[in-house]
Amino acid sequence: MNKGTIASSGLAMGRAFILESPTIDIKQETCDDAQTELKKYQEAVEKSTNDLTKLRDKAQKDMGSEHAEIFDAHIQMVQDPEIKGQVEAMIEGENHCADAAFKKVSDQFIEIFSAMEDEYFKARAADIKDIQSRMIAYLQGETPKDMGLLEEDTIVFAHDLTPSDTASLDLDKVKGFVTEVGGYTSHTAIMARALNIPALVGVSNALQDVTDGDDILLDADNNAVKINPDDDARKEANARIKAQHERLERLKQYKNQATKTSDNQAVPLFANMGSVKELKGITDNGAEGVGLFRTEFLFMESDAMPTEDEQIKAYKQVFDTINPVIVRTLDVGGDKNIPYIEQAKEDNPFLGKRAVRLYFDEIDIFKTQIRALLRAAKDSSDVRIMIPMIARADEIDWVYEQIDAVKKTLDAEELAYQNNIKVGIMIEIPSAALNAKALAKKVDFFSIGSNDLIQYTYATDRMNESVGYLYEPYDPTLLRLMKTALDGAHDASIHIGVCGEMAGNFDLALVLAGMGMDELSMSPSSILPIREALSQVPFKKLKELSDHVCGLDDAEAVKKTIQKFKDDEL
Amino acid sequence: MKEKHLKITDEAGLHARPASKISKSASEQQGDIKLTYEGKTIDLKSILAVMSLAVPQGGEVTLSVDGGDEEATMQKLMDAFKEQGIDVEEQ
Repeated sequence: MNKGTIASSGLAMGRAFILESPTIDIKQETCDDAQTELKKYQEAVEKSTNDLTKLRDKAQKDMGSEHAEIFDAHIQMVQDPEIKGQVEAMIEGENHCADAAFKKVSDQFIEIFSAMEDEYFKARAADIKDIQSRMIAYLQGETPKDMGLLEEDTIVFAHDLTPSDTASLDLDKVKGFVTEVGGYTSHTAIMARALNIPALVGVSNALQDVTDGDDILLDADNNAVKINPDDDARKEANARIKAQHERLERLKQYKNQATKTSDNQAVPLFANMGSVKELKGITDNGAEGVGLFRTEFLFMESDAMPTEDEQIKAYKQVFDTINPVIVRTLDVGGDKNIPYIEQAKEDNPFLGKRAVRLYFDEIDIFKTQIRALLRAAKDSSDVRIMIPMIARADEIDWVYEQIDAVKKTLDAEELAYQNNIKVGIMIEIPSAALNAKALAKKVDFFSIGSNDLIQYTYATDRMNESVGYLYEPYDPTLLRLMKTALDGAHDASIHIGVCGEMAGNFDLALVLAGMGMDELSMSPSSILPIREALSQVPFKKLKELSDHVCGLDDAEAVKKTIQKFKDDEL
Repeated sequence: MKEKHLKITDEAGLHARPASKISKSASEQQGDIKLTYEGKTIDLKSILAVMSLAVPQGGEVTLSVDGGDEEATMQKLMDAFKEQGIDVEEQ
């Protein structure tokens, strides 16, 4: 198997589960025995309903009723009287085989929905395809594959995983991921790190050699996949899994401690999160807060705009578990689209109407989210709202106007809310970093979104592997830009943190701590190793390291200097 | 048979999420329940048929109930519209 990108390190053993969109193959159009075909159809409806009911109950339990609703709709589709009537007529009247009849009838509906203007209805075509493949598997005497009903110790192989795929995954049973596409910041990669599951992405021929049920040794530390490994390989892997386990045990002693350098300078380590599902991993890894709560999941996993109450429920679940929480308001546009938010096609979506720029057109979406956040935080001690993609001061003024308007309405409606909420901005556009001094006077805090700041500073599309060489977090130009933002924040006595992937990079976390960042927010699995390292060095040494690397000429020199620092001090 | 002429005044028309709820409520009732829009008549118990009608805002539909306790069924359906926040105007 080819090498890919290490999305989340670690070692795992399990059995392969290949997730692919099934190809539907109808071998025979006509069957003579209508009674047998009718019976097959009835049984397939029953079995599918049974599966979907299980999936619905599981979704209800894991993720709440909003996520279960989609399966209710699927059950209705499987039992749909319109489909039933047409399928039975084709079996009885035209001697169709049950699978051929079902395919023809359901294809018609797929076609109708695909042709509709409305994005929501278009998306229903995918639902019908979903039930179609399940039904046809049963009609052909096979068992459909279910992401939600996996066996223990599964390694999932896929071309790509969509957010809705991962939403239906049974995460207790997944031990690793391998996908053919994607990079370090792709959805699968971020999720794998959040869940602390070993994963390789961008393995171009991942699906070629693997068969369902193969024994797999996924070595995401060394970017390797072994299929049906021999005894020696297993032994070695088991020994390494044991060593990993021991390391995790050792790190556990840091779990309930605040992060401090050896001379007691506090450097709070927060966690990034993208879904309520990740809360457990966050508390298990001893995060001192949430530095980036991405709220897109609520909008992407749902098939219609989540209501204010649905949002309040999800936010409260987070706010009641951990504080402080920095909530980023909806960041869509760019590579993330939501079917029910209409967006014009853009030549350069990353430079287009994304995040705050979209709010100007979709004021109601923004206001509803602010209402939900203010109300959900009413009893919380420290919830902060962060606005993404701010480039200029006038955008901040606009945001404050909207928040004030929301507060006025809440007052008028006599609804309780959190009045002392801090509002800050994400620093991810170079102009904002360069103008930090002025922007800092307007807000309560900054958080640097390093992934986008790199992309915009070097004009390199982070999804485009062919310009990936420019995506270089060790570059001193970038570090100096971050230092400019930090100086601007500290001049105005406001907090500044970092919430991109850089903060969770062991080497760069040392540099950013030394730079004087007030908080670093990262994947939960990065917290304990970094906490351990920081506890072993005095702040003065970290500051020297940071000052030194900011003055260097290129990334190679930065890497060498940090390596030497680690060899000497850790 | 009982009939009601309705105008869907909801901004988004008879959109999918509530449509599926209304269809579900219909399938729990006895009798034939049909919805007619622009000359097309469909079985309200079929979520796919209801969705493929895609009734927009201002769409005028006819709801008919045939068999069972028609009065009670009609009332239940009107309640379902209300519960799902679909504004209708009786014609």
